Amino acid sequence: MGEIINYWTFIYGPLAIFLVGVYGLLTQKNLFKLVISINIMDLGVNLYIIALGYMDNASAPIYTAKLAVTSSRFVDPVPQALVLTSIVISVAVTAFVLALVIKNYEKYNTLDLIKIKGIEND
Amino acid sequence: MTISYLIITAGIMSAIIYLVSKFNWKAGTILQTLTFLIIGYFLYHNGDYSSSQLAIFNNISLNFTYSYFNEIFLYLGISVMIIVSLFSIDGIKNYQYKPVYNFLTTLIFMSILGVFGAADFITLFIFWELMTWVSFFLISMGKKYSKKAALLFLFMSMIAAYLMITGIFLIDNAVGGITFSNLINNYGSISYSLKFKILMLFVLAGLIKGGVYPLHIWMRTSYSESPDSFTSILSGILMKFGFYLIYLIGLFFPVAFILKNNPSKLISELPSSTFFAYLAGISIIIGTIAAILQNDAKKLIAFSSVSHAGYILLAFTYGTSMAFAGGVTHILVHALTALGMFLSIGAVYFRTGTTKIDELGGLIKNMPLTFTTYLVSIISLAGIPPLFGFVSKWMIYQSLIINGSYFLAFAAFFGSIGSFMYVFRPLAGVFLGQRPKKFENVKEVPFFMKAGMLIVTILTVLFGVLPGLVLKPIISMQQSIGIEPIKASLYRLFSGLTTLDMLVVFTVFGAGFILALIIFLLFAKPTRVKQHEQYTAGEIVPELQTQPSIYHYAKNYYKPFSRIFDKFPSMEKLYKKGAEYLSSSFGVIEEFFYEESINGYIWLISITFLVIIAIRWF
Amino acid sequence: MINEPVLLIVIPLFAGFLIPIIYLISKKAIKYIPIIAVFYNLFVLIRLIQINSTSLSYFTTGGYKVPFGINLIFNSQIGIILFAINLLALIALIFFLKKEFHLVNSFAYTLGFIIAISAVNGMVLTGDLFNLFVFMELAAIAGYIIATHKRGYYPSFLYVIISTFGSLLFLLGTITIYNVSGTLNMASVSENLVDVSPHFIVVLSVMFIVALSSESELLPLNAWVPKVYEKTSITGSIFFGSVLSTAALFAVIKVLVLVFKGGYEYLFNSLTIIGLATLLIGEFVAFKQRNVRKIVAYSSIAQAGLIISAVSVSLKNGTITDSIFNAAMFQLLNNIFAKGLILLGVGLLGYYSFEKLKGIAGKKKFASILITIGVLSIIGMPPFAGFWSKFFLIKSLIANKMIIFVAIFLASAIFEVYYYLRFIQNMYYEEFDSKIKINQISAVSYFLMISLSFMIIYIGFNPSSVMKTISDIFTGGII
Repeated sequence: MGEIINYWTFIYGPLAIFLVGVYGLLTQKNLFKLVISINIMDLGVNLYIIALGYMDNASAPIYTAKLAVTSSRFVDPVPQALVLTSIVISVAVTAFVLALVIKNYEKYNTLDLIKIKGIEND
Repeated sequence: MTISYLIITAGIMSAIIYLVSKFNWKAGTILQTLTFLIIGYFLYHNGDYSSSQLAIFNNISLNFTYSYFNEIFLYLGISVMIIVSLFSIDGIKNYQYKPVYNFLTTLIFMSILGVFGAADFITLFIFWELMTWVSFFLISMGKKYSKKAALLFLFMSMIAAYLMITGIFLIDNAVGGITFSNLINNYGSISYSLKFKILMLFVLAGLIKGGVYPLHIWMRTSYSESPDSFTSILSGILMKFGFYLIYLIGLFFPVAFILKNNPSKLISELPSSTFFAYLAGISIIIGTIAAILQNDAKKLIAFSSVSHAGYILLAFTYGTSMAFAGGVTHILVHALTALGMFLSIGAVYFRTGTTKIDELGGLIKNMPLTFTTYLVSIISLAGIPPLFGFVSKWMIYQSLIINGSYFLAFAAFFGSIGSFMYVFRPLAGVFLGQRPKKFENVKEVPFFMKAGMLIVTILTVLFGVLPGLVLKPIISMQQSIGIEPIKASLYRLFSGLTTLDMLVVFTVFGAGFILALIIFLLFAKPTRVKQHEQYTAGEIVPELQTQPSIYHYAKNYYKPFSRIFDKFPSMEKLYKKGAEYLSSSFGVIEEFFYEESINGYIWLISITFLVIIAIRWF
Repeated sequence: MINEPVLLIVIPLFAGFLIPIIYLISKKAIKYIPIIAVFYNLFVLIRLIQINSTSLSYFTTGGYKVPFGINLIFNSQIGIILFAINLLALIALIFFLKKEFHLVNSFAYTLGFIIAISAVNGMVLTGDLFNLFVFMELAAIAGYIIATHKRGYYPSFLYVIISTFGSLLFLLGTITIYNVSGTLNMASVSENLVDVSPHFIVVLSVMFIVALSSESELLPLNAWVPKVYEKTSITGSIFFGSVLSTAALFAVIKVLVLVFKGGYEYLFNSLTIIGLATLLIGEFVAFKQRNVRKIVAYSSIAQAGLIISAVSVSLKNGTITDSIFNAAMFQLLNNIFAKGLILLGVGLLGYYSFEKLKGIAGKKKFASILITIGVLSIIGMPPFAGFWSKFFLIKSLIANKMIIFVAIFLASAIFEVYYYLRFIQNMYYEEFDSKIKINQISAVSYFLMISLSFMIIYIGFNPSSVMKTISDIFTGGII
């Protein structure tokens, strides 16, 4: 575990990306930009997952005859499995949200959050 | 028949009564009256004290008892319900939802049996809650502003109920059970501070329900807006639930305990008693003043209830044997007189469609029995001998005189004198004086309404002459819990100071009345004048044709008196302002938490996140 | 094979895959697939409840032993709660197919509902943190779709943003937990968390609090709730109100019990405060509303706050205080029926604003009476189910000397009683506006409502035995 924590860049870099996404959510008023912010956060989380599974001098967690002979170290396979699922989910959500943004535009003729909210409340 | 069976019967009958009322409301109401009568008969016929359980709930069984302490309340509840139901056979003719009304009042009957028949606090609470929501629907059925009144009633009742349930579970924790007997046996093991908390919770709940100032705010609107026959139940019984609670807690809690162990040290253990006694005094004064200022007969009686709630509380907080008995008697007195007053005002409303005093007048000729009922009731309410009200007030005064507190004595006498002022006003404005033209052909109410009122009148007079009928069960109650009982025979009452013989009082007053009547018939030579002649002296006043009520002589009846209290701060207005403020602040909360833009929400989330971490981190 | 809880997830999922294929053959036939799937689910559940005891048992998949691989947790108590959830889902589905199937794109919404049911079952059953994340996302995606059922595109967008924010935090937390504990199995995580620095645990647990509060309708992330409830279809509102929120609450409780049970006092204290704040603010705001859907939405928020804070209070001492916990679960169960009944009934009447519901009881007596039963239950009036859950909750809280908690709870309950009965009063005693068109209510709809109110009355007259069937969910022992 201590070994992993040494890779500060891998840990804090993705978190910084995540915070960039949060900043987008905090400040942007355009629906598309909000979706992009969510995507940036997704990216950050996914990188973070991968980073946590990484080890130095380790090979891919695929068990082959050659591997059994040369190396005893795998990178952790679980985060890699998780990140696949997570990416799939984020793609699905993004696809859906983009459709939703189009629908919103059709309904309100604007992508501005404040304007939509104003129309909603009337 | 134990109480549990009677309650099940009432529950089943409520459905049957509803169905019958759907086809014919009159038959349904008659069935209701018969049901109440039969249930009352079975309770009486059984005679012996008994306990029973209703165990359709697994693990939770509802315990009921028919015993020395609740006997008198059970009969009070049943007889009030019988009278009101009898009255309703004709009285609910104009109501919009008759079958539902009958159904709900039967449920009220069931909850009355449950509350008064309960042998543990949970059972009491369950039926109390049942009563709350059923009453809510009943009050909502009333007049124009009844919906708001019902909501206010509900709000206050829920506060009372929740205070009570907190107290109940505190008891449960302290003594490991919520039956009354358990509480009596383990009372000593409760710590002083807990005792104080429990007492406060129960008494506050009781005060809200009983309508003691400053918690009376629901009473004015609920009384004036609810359907007339339900107002009688509300003031006759449901309001008394609050005092029943105080009575119970007084019986099982401090008073019984203190009296048992240290008869001389009557009220000193709990300092709150003094506080509540003063609260009672304030309630008497303010209720009286407010009642004098009302123009609506029903609102007037509502405020008189505030004042009389003060009397009952005063009696209970005094804690002597005599005062305790006086308090219980006053509950009965007020139930009976409020019933009589509301029924007679309800009868007036039934025929005229208004309860505003300055729109009525001179109905004594049209409705003599209604007038008599009202007269007897107010005499009793004001505590004028020789009627029932005098007995209880006498008992309360005796304890006041013996134990001596100037403020309380002043309050009690002020209330008495004030009550002459307010009860006289509807009498003069509604029944005496000049009759408006449109009411000239008003008839006396139909038979069953008359019957209901007649019973109330007879009971008020009967208990006045023979108070021993009522005092006997109170005495046996006092004996059972080990308090030194009051001394009374069928028509005699003994206090430390003096003896009261109601038969003599009645004879003297009866003789006086007959004498006055003879003088009146022989010597009085009334001249008939038209209603407004006395004001206009023959002048033609244009407003007289358009708005005759402003020249009604009951208008601004106590103007000089009410001018004194013009600037008096109103508790109701204070509450109203508070409620408005609260409501607008809820709007602000909604704006802040639920009407942001998406960015706003994310800010909210981030800040919450950081705050929770920061608090822990530093 | 029938004794596997995984069927509850797989069958609806399979039905979901079947729908596109059937749709190619016959457009009407897809109606029957979800019904069959949920009926089959209920049948499986009855079997499972009979077979399983009250102790927790793990059902593994793929032959991996417990700390590894994906596993499901099941016992008869979870079965009962799941049964109630599926029953409500069935009711919502029947209603959907009968009334709202033809509304808009029937194919997409049928698919959405059946996937949602699968995901909801997964959320309740799974014993694995990442699995929970997947099911929550699946349920959320289905939820986004359902939220748009009546062209509520903006609320749905709001829901997406807030919920995604929450689930990303959840994912961050999950993966961090995996990193420090080396496992994703909820029960094993708690054992491995013991020697982690307390500061780290705080960040982690706060992450979970914030993350889980979006689906479970807790305060910082519940802004989507009223908007979505208001704009979605009747089916959608029942789905959100009774099915999804219950499952999410249960999932949150499961995470709290299994992962954080080891006495993280600060976590539970802050959750209690957040829950109580949610309760109070929910009731206050509901008090201002004059639209039944919004009232139910805010009250549902408030109930979620109540249940979460009660659960966290019960977990505070490191062990589960059974009496409070059981009462909270009982409250959860009762809310399913009561909220479902109100939302269904009001949906059948067809109007939500107080203005339009005025005096409608005069025209639709029976439906109004059934709604009244639901309302009386939710505000805790005897002799209905809600009375007893409130009763046990107060009793247990006072027994554990949580007087301030009780005071806040009861103060908010007063407001709840007030605004719910104001709605009922409005239905009964106002003048009916004759311009308003009255909707016909079919026999099937009545049957659905009657069965719900029957449940409420049954629980009301038989509280202890029903409560016994769901008590000690996590403390009844482990096989």
